[in-house]
Amino acid sequence: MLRVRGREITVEVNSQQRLTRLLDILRKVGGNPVIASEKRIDPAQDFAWASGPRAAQGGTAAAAEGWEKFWLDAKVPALLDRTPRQAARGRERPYLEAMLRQFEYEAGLLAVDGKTGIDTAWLREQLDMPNDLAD
Amino acid sequence: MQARLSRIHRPGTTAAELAILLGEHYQGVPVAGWLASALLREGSSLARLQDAAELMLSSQDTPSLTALTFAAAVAGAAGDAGEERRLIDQALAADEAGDPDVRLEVIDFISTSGHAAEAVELLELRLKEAPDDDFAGDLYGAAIERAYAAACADETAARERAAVHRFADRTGLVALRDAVSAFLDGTELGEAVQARVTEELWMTDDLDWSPEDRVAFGKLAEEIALATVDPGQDEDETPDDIGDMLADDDPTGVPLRAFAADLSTPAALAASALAWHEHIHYGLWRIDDPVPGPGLRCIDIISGTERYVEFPAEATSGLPRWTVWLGGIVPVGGIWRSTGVGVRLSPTEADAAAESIDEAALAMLHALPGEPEVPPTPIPFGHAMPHGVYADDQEPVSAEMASLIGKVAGAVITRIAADVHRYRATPPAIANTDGDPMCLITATIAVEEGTAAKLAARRDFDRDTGEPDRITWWGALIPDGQREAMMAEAMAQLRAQGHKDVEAPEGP
Repeated sequence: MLRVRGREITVEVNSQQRLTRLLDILRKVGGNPVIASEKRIDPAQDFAWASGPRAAQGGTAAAAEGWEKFWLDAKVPALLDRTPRQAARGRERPYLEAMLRQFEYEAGLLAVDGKTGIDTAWLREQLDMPNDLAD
Repeated sequence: MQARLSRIHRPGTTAAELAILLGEHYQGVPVAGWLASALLREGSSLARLQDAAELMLSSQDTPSLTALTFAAAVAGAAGDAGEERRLIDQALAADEAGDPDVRLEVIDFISTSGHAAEAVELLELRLKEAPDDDFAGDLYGAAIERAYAAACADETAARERAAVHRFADRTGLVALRDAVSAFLDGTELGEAVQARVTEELWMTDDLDWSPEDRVAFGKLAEEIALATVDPGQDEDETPDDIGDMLADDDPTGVPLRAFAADLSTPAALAASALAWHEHIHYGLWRIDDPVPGPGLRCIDIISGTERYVEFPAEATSGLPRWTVWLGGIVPVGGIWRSTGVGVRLSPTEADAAAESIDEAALAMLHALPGEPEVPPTPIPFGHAMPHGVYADDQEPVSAEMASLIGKVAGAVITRIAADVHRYRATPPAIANTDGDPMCLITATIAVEEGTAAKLAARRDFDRDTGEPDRITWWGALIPDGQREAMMAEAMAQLRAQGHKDVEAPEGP
């Protein structure tokens, strides 16, 4: 949200990156922006997180419609910005296999608490990367 | 070869031809224990198999292991236990002076022909002599699994149940620990062990251990101290000096060796202590199938060493697949056992730990004599190579290299355990929906006259009609795929909450 007052704009953003993007836009439209004042709050200072492994929880939507479907075609930094479908056929395949194993491990942790993790079986089927034990 | 196999399995192949084909295919080594049963299932007549076996036995002055084992398998399938026993004994006697691997192939025949418990007994004998015999270890895993399945299926399978009982029996390990503990009590050596434990705990004083975790870490430190503390060594040889530790092949002053050398120590316990000191293998043991049956097949992702390992029940409860056990395994009575002290790691944590151990091993190998060791770099959590995956395709390193890597892993295991705990206790990075680190910023920006109007004209900005000095910035556009996934998730959550009639909106 931006509030305009004459030749000043007051903005509230939740990251440095977003502030930088806004400044870029302002430059593009010829606004010649100069930050007059700035206040920052780092929420991490006030957070008390529980320790222990943090497993990635699966969504409520079925894998064929939800996060898993999107992830297959998303560029993943850990796969050197290749998509999982690309990585499955390329040199990044071992990194993809490592990610799938981590997902499967985390799903196993969540299952102990009655929760559902990422649907690795569905991902493996889509990627044609079978689970060794099952086959 | 395929054509020959197909003729072996064809019920119409004559007994004489079958005898020749089996001789050609197995070349004097034992047949698979299940072969006769398989041929019968596929339509062969028992009489034809008995004829073929007879021909094979009579065609040579000294029957080959192929002939003996095939005849034993046929006798077993015919229900002639006495003849089967006689032929198996003859096969075992035939290779006694020969290649140990050939004997192991006979034992594998025994294992796969319905006598897993006997195979377990024979393999235990071999592994007591040579716990690092990979072939024997592999066969042992398969044999004890067969014995376990038989014991589960049949309560009267006494020999199989005894084999499983021996496998699960940790009393030897407990007795050794207790005896070493009693031996150290009140001695200078015992004080040195405790000093090491205290030092290790002091070095992790910054950690917010739970009482249980702190106790477990202390036990790990103590276990390492039993094999490494040596008050007789030069003071410069610090506990962390991996190179010095590895260079000393016969550290007689360390507690386990001192215990073994003590004249009052019973011979069996002394042998166990020496076996522990000589063979203990610290590593990152990946567990692909976490359901014990009765043991777990493990592969050390650093050295590629594979072992069939007995774990205490408390160490394996609730293990997810791909868990990696950071800890030591030790042979006791021919069976590899987890010491029970260690840390469960996720696959990615294990990859990072593997990189750190690799680095420590390399630093040690390249260290110049007399030069201080380079301090270790932080464990690369989150950006290590996929060592756990590579372990599937890489050949295991040599036994000597595996031993060296195991010693390095033991030397750094407490540091890794502490760093894993530290890593897990670190708060996660808080990110916004773009994945950027969250930081709440309120900024006042001086701009040129007319800038607000130019912003409001853009598609990604929207001026509030009621309050013209307020402009909403919609931010970056969400990619189509991500938008669909988010919509599917929202719909699924609404339906899960009981909103049965929700429909996806039309359009973007």
